[in-house]
Formats: sequence, structure tokens, C-alpha cells
Amino acid sequence: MPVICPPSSDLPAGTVTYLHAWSSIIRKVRANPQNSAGGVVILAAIDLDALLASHVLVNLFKQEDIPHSLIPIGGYSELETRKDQIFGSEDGRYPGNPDVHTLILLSLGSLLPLSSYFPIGTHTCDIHLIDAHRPYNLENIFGGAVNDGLGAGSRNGHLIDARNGHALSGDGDDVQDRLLGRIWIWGDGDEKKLENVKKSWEALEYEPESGSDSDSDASQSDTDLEDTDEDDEAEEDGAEDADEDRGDGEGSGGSNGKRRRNNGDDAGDQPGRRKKKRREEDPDRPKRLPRAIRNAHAERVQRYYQAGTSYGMSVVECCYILASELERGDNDLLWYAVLGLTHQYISSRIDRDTYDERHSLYLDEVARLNPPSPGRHGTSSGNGSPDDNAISPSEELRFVLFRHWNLYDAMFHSGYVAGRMGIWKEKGRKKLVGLLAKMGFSIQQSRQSYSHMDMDLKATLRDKLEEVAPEYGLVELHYPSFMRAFGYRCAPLSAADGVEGLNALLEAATGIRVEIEQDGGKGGGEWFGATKAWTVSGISGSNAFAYKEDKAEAEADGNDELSRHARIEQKRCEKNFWVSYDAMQDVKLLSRSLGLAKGLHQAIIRQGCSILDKNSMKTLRSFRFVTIREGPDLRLFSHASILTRLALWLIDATRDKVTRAAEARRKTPAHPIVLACLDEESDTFLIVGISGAPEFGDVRKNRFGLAFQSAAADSGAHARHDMFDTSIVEVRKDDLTGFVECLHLQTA
Amino acid sequence: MYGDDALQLVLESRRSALTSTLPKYSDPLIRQICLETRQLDSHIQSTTSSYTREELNSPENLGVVAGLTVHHLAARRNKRCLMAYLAGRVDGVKGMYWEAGGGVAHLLASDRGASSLDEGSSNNNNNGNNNSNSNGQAGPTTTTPHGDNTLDLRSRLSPHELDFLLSYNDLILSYKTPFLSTLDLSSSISSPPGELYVDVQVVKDCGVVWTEMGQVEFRKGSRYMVRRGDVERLIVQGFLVEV
Repeated sequence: MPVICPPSSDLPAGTVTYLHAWSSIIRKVRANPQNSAGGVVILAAIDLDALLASHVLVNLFKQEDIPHSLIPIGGYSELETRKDQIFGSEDGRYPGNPDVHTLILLSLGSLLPLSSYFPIGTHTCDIHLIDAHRPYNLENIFGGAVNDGLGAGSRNGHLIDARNGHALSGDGDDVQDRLLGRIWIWGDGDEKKLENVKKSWEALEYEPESGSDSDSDASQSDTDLEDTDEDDEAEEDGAEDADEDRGDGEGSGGSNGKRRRNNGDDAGDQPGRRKKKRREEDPDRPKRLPRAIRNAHAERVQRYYQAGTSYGMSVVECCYILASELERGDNDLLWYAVLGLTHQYISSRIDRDTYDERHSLYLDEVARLNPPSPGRHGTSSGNGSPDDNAISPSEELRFVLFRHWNLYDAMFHSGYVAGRMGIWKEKGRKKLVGLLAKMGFSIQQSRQSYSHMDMDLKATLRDKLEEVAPEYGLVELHYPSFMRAFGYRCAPLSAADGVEGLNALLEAATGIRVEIEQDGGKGGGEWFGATKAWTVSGISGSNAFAYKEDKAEAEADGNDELSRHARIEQKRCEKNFWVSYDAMQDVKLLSRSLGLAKGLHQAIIRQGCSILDKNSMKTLRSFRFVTIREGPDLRLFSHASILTRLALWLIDATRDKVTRAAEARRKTPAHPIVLACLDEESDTFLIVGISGAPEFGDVRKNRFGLAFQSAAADSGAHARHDMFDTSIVEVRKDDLTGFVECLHLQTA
Repeated sequence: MYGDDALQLVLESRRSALTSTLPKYSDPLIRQICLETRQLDSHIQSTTSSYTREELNSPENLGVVAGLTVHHLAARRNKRCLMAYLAGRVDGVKGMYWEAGGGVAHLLASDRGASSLDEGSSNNNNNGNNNSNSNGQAGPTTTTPHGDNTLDLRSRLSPHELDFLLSYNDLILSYKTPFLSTLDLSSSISSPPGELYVDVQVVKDCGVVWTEMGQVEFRKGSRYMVRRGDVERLIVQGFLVEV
């Protein structure tokens, strides 16, 4: 179960990297040509990151001529059926497919105890986990790998076979004829920071073993003392490590004991889905840890899980790193990776510092793949050549889709501007108009679609904004990003535009009715502002057939109301996944999807403004709570990703207000927000918890995942945790009050 | 008016060619046209028998001759329309045969025989069928808008067309069998394969498929990259869609 790290030049020799994992996949395919047809299976979660990553991976596979299948997965229940289909189910419903030899999990499964969840003990299937969700289930990254590449002692790539802990030396070349499957975790290099947690986890899991090499451990723990833990709780750490030292000393005395891992169990139950306990007792050298040390270890592991969910390196970036290491990175793949990064940033998954760090890496890549040619001018001017597909660095304003909308609307719909100006009030809107007036942009011009705005205004927009906007508290109006030209097929898109478009397709390409403005509608004045319902009619020919509604089918085999609903929803998501998958290659569709993105933004603003207007946000002690029970867009917000976006907008919009209000009353501001939206069809509330950060561009770990779980358990509410994002839960309508009360107690 | 029914038949044929569908063989209409032609024939017979050759040649009976000519032309026109219709049908059947890659059993059994041809224009198709139903079949048919599509090909063909299809298949089979091991003549050549592998999306569950390279399980809603040769048939039969 090696945790593999991204390849780079300064790694010690023998470290297992993506390249090794890749070549192991290739080898598996090449070694058994007679069953390669269905051998590689990619399971991709239905989110943007996985979508982009699957594209990159599929591209790589295609270049290698490796047959593969790509399956979008909506949630845990779907994953369960797919797993059964591949590995065979116990009830014999599915026979299983013994030909599958490589299973790649994209953006899902980091919390699952993979080695027990997937029956690799009886199957020759390798499992590759590429997931940006953190925390990991510790069993995944440390389990069965006492001596692997991460261990301080042996860096020369000893691999541990997951099933029985046999150490296989060498860097993976001599393990081809392994019969049983193995798990590869594609880490992002941050796993090394978890050294402390690793020690604790190992102490809990392999109690006797940790004593057997206590000498090295003892010497290590001295250095560990200085290491700060992930959670910046340095002083506690100190105490703990002291305990540990003593513990090791006592432990090596070796009193015989059979105490079970009670504390370990507590810790283990927390991530929710751990079932299997592995314990390999060495009868020769039994030893037990004193209770205090066990507790300390357990606490540390506990703290790792309880710190909340966050995001590591995006999945598509992992795949891009692989591609570029294989010398196959091209502009398309790079563009996807840039989209992945931008998505993480604008949906507040990573903070500004991380973004800047990664962005600078991409700057190099962009420069490498897009050498400046004398013929090309600035791409923003749009006069490139017909085949100009170059990516170029640019500064992106924090206005939503402003190149494809009008300036006023773009500013109006941006969460950042909304927060600083209080856009939901008449006063705020006046302020916005005032800002534009001060910049010298007439109302007429700023309501004009951006492409038709006066050239000189466009040219001076940035400077003017920098000059005037700080008066209104808008200081961080732009961030470095990239633009991509699409020849004559479409105006250049910025990375943020691309993300907005793909996201909109992923959320609402089919199945929801969204009104979109017709092009040029506003140009003729208010009277001509016509809207129409969005359709994916752009899909041509044979593809249209694949997208045909098949509700009837879902209804046919669904007797239970709730499961029927879930199945339709799942079909819808699947379809959207493919629509957006196609849109990644079809620029026409992508540029059309920007209209849909605008429609979604309008809905979000509508709902957000009405929430703020009506003051329907309840401030509880540690979070704010909103229920949406009615409204024109109710059906829209019963989809998790759109609800999450509304929550993000609300956090952005109210950040300053909350901080100010809290300061006035000398309390700590409650930035986290919990949104509950009624889903009338299934009679449930969809609940999303987002922990906002006090500063713009900052990110806090999301602790709602665990809180939701325990709140559901405490209140006895009927809750469904199906999403791979743990901070989303469905609760039955009647159970909402109890659930929220428990949640309140939980997080207080 | 003479020839109106025949015109309807031609229109129907034209419509089916435009929408590339094959509606039900319009037996009643054809019988009606045959009847009309026979009536014309008897009319001509009776007229000609009541005059001698000389009488007809004389200038005072010019009107009668003109009438005869009109009737004769109408009859010939009916015949040509019928032939055109049948030729159109035969072309359609042949087209579908090649479209289905020579799989007669599959072609006859599934109702996809028609809909595989009309993916692009399902709307037109429905309209066309509606019209053809209301025009052509005057009988008390209570067909749904999808009427003809839901029927399988076997019931949409006349017995003669069915015979034709089967013997056509026999001919082709006997022609292509000798070199089937090296070249399958009945595989599609509309777009020559550019690559060995093909990306397909599953639109209908088709279970486990055993190929040269091992088994693949095609499940709806996923995409697969597989060897073209392995799934050619499935694409043709509409289980998979190339992307």
C-alpha cells in the first residue's frame, strides 16, 4: 500500500512516484493481453475535479492504446453497486468481473478503508486512489506499510503487500507476478507532514511491533518532539511526546498483555466507515502500551480526523503531473489542470497562498508549452490566428464572467463585491452605480454587453478600478490567472469562465429548468430582456440519442418513492457528467454554457438577497443557519453543488458584516454557515455546512462532516450521507429541528 | 381525379426517403390504386370495342381518342407510381440491411430497424408517420404517434418484401462467405475506421461481452474505449454509440 508522491528532481532515489504507479498499470495491461479489454476501470466522482482528471487520464490511456472504461459515480450507494458489479456481491446478484485488474478512484474514497472495503484479498485488482479530499483514512496511507517509502528508516522503496504484510523489496519491478491486488495512494507530498499521526496510528494498530524496534523509535521520537503537529497544537504535542518517550521506555520492559485496542476503536469509528481492524500480534515479543500513552496516541489520531475536511492537491493536477512527467503534457491537458486549480480557488477549497504557489508552477508550464511567437499579440484583443489555442497568463478580475456579460451584472453577481458593498440593499446597489460613475463608466455603457463596450473604457478598466475601487473597500479585485484562446471558434476564455461554464453544465445541464437571458436581450433596453429555458440542444447527431430522457426506465424498476427519486437524480447527474465531458472538447457547447452559468448566478443572487433581505439567517453560537422552504428556485437549490455555491456566496457577502457585528459585541465571529433546503419531491432537507474563513481568500477546515454524523446519530434523525463530500447530508423533513439542535450542541 | 391515390403513395415514399424511415407497407392504398387502374383498363376496353379502327381514325371521333389517351396515360402513371413506391421500399430495405451490417435476424426482430435510421430527425419522423397514417390508411387505425416505430420490421414489410430481404441476404451471404475470414464485406464503410480503438457510450445495457481480449461488461451510462472490431456489431445494432 504505497503512498506515492509526485515526481520531482529532488526526491531521494528509490522513492515510489506516480511514474512507478503508471508503469505498473501499463505492465498489468501488457502482461495479460488476453484479458485487457475490460481491465482498466476508472470510477470518477461527479464533480468538476474528477471530470477534468478523467479527461486527462483517458487521454493518456488513449495514447497508450489501453482499453478502459470510465464510470461516473454519484455517491456511496452507487459506488457500492459498482463495487459489487466488479468484485461480485455476496448475495450473488452480480457475478463479478475477474478481468478487472486496475481500478482507479478519482476524487472519491479517501475516507474509505480501501483494503477492507474492496475485497482485494481475493481479487487480483490493483486500486489506485487519487483524491483531493482530506483527511485520508489513516489505514489507507499507513496501513500495511510499516516500512514503505515514507518510513524514515528505509527510503529505498520497500513495498508491503496489502494482504499479509510481506515486505517486497525493490522498487516494484519484481512484483509483476504478484497474485493479489495492491492499493496505491497518489499523494500530493503533504503526507510526510503526518509523521506524528503516523506514529500514533501505528502504535495503536500494531501494538507489539512498535515495541519491537523501540530503539529506533525512541531515537526518532526525540526529533518528533520538535515536529509540529498538523493542527498547530504545539504545546499539547510536547506533553504528549514526553508521555510517549516514557511509554516507550516502559514498553520495552515488556509486560505481557492482551489489552484490546479500546481507544483505538474509538478513534477508528470516527471516520465513519472503518470496519476492519487489523492486528498482527507477534507472539514472541508481546508488549503493551500503558493506558496514558494509548490515550495520547488515540487522541492524536482523533484530532487528525476531527480537524475537519479540507482539500489537497487537485486530482487533475496529479494526473497532469503524471502526463508531463511522461512528456505528454500538451496545452489541452495543461488547460484542464489550470481549470482544476482555478476551481479549487474560486470555490474556496484552497487559500490564496496555496493558489499562488501552484499558480507559479503553472506559469512555468504555460511558458514552456506556449513559447511567445512574434505573430501573436495579446490574446485578450482577440485577433489571434484561427488555430491559436495558446494559453497565456492574465490577471482575472473577481467579476463573474465579465467578458461575457455586462460590467454591471458581472460586478453585481460577484460574491466579493456583494460583501463589500452590501449589494442586497438599495443602498448597496446605489454604491455600485456610484463606483461605476466615479470610474467614468456611464450606466448605459456598463449595462452594455462587455464585448460591445467602448474600447477605450475596456482598456482603462483595470487602471480605473485600481484607482477608484479601494474607496469602496474593494482592494483585492484581481488575482493572477490564465486565458485560453480558441482560434476563431470562440472568444478567448479565462480559466474562471471555463470553470463557471463547466460547473454550470455539471450542475444543471439537464433535469432542471433554468431561465437564461437571450443574447443581446438587454442591449435593446429593459423591454427586450427576453429569457428562455436552457436546453442542451447543441449536442448533435448520434450523441443526442445518448442523452434522451429515460425517466420511464428509472420509474419502471423503482417501487420505493425515495429510491426512485434518488435514481432519477443519479441518472441526471450521470447525464450532466457526460454533457460537460463533451463540452470540454466542444468549445461551442462550452461557450453556450456560459449563458447557463449566468442563469445560475442570477438564481443564487435572487435567493441570497432574499435571505439577507428577510433576515432569515439565524445566528447560533457557532454557526449561522438558514432554511429555504420556498422560493422560485427551490428546485434548483435542492442540488448539493448549487446549494454549496449559495452558501459560499452568503459567506462572502456577509463576511465583513459578521466580523464587525461580532467585534461590536466582543464575541468571536461565527463564520460557518449551514444551509438547509427543502426538497419537495423527496420530502427531505438537503443540508450543507461550510466553514467560512474570517479573511477573504483564506480557508478553514470544514468540521461539519463529523458534526453532521454525530448530530444525526444523537437526534435519531433519518439522515442519508451519500455524498463523497461529508459536509452534505439529507435529513427527513420532520427530523430537521432535532437535527439542528443536536448540531448546535455538537459544535458549540 | 385519376392518379390522386398514386400521388399519395409517391408522397409517402418521398417522405420516408427524407426521414429515412420505413413505414408500414400501405396495402390498402396499393389495392385501391390497382382497382383504379383496372377500372381504367375496363373503361378503355369497352370504349375501344365499341368503335372500329377506321372510326377511331376519322377526324370526327377525335374526342374519343383524346379520352382514351388520357385514360391510358393515367393507367400508365399509376403503374409507374406503384413501381416507384416499390423501388423506394426495396431501396429502403436494402439500406437497412446494410445499415444493420447484414444481421437479418436482428433487423427483423428489433423495433430498432426503423429508429436506428432516424436518430437525427425523430420529430420529422413522427410527423411523417402521422401523415402517412391519416392519408394512406383510411381504415379505422388507432395508431399512436409512434405507431410505426413501435412495430418491428417484420410487420412493416409486405410478404414479398420479406421474401426479397431473405433471398437478398442469401445472395450476399453466399457471395461473401468464401473470403469472410479475411474481409467482412457487410461491415460498414460509410466511415472508414481511423483507429484501432473506439470510444463508445453505452445507451442500452448489453451485459457481458466476450471479446478476443477478454470480457467487457457494458453498463449503461459509462464510456468505454474498446477495440473497434470487437464492438462494431454492437454499435451497428444500437447498443453502443460512438463518441
